[in-house]
Amino acid sequence: MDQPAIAVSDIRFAYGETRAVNGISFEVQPGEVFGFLGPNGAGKSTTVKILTGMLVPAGGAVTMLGKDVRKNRTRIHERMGVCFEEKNLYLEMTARENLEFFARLFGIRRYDAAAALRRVGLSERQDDRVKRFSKGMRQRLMVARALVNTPDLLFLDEPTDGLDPVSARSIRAIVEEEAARGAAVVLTTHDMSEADRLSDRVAFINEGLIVATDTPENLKLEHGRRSVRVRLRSEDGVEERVVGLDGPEAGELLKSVADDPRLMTIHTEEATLEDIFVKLTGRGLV
Amino acid sequence: MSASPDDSGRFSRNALRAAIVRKDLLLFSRDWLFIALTILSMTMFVTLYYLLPARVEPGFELGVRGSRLEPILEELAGGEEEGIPLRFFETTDSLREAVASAELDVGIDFSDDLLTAVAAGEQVTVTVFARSTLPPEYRGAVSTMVREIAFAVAGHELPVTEPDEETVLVGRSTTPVPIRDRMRPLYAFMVLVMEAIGLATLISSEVQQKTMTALLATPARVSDILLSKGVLGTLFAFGEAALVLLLVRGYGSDPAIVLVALLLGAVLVTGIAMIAGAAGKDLIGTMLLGMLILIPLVVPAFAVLFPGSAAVWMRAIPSYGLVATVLDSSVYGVGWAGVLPYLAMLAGWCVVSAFVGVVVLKRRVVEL
Repeated sequence: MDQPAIAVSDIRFAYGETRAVNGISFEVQPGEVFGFLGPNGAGKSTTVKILTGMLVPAGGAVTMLGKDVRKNRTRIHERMGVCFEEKNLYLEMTARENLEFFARLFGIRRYDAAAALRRVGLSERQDDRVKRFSKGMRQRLMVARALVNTPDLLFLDEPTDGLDPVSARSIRAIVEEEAARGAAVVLTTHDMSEADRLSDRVAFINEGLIVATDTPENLKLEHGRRSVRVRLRSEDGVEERVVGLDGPEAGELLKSVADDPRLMTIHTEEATLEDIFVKLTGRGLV
Repeated sequence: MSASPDDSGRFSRNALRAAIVRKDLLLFSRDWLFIALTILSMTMFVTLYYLLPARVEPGFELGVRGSRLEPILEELAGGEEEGIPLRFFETTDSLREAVASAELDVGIDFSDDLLTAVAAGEQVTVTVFARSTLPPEYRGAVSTMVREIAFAVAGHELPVTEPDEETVLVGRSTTPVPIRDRMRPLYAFMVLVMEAIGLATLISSEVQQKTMTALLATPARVSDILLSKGVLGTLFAFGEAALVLLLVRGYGSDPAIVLVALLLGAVLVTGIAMIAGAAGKDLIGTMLLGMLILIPLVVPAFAVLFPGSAAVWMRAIPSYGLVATVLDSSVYGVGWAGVLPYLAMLAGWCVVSAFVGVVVLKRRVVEL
């Protein structure tokens, strides 16, 4: 396996007496989308702040692109892009000026802001001040800003927050393109379906600890119950049944359902990431 | 599409700082309220300067200190409406200071035991402070006045002996200074204050809107941001104050002295702007905090408008060095040697202000 783009080992951090991160370890490979899931106050924002250099951990080690974060902050930041949850843009500057300013901070001399704005669907509004942008437009500009330096490490906090379905789809496509290019993407989100769709692997974080890390499929297989939901016509209308797919009688049971003339529909039933999180931690994600 | 960062393989920190300065300049240029207030206030200061009289009208004002003598003195002076304007002072020092600063032409200091001493037939001494430029006829009038007072107190004529003239006061100048010229430090400091408030709100909005966090996710360090804002704030404040003093002819015989004082003053207010910008919880809070810190600093600039009102404690106010230097250099033509203690004091406060400003802002940024 390649050298991991991000290697986190037993990091700890406390706000006064409150332990926010209590020994977290994980790795993210280049080209991998790593979903970081947890409720508010679980420690995921603190973890991301440590990774992006905003906080210094009290213990443990963080290596990014093979370099110790504490000793190589500038070198790592040159190759990092961050899309924050807060829309922290310069409102009195235009979309183009915002991107060009950040390009200059990264030492980029010939930056094509128009192309970057076209990629997120904002080319028509490139010379408008950001204060006149809708929430969704600001979010798209945030994503464009995170990509200014063509980063090898991409941190996205709720990247499709406030977007309409079409815009959200285009942003998801961009995330996939970036990962395909080789960027390691750390995705923090409350939207479980989005994490499921985008992430190669996810980590559940609760009370400052990672309680599970795996691919969404493996987590579902390991912690979910395989079943199908069957709808049958009945005298009273529609009758619903859940048929388990595990166990020795599952095959026969499924065959009898399939042969039943009253059968209307049959759908696979699988656990969602949220179901699994609740099962593992005993609490919801919000 | 996007170019790769670090084309040359080396990152230029100066280019990064220049980018932050350019961005802040752009944001300043789009703050129309701030621009309008700046232009308006600068125009107002310059207009006020030229509207105020350029010279002091000749007149004669007398200051007196003497317990229980007010009724006798008022009567002798000829009353409030037609006679010599009379001002009473509590202490010998305040009377002496008023004459020294050309606020008064003459000050007469009667000793506290005057009445009892005269009644007992003892000899008493009355001290007269007078400006050296006082015309001889005025000196004669003062002498006559002292005789009249002695007569009124004793009830009969007393032998008044005039001692040899003695120079007891050395002021910066014996020429009366028009109020508009004494206002020069005030103009300069008010411009510095306005710029400080502008910078504080800029820093505050950067903190409140969390754009500071976005900057720190790039190769920019906290020190780059602080340095960029500090340099821009200082140059802005210095430039505007220098322009205003140029327009009100405030450079005196040695412009370098005034420029150095303004530069130090700009550093002082920039440090304060950082404190207010970082500590204010919102834009209004920042402005209020800024005003709260800056208003006491304006006190010395007002005090020079009323000579004799500057108390010793006022020297402890950080802006005193700026005000004293600008006044002494531009009005009284004092050279480097004379203003050096003031500049040293101001430089010391600059170090304190810049240090505290950087520490407070750095702590706030790290907390974001």
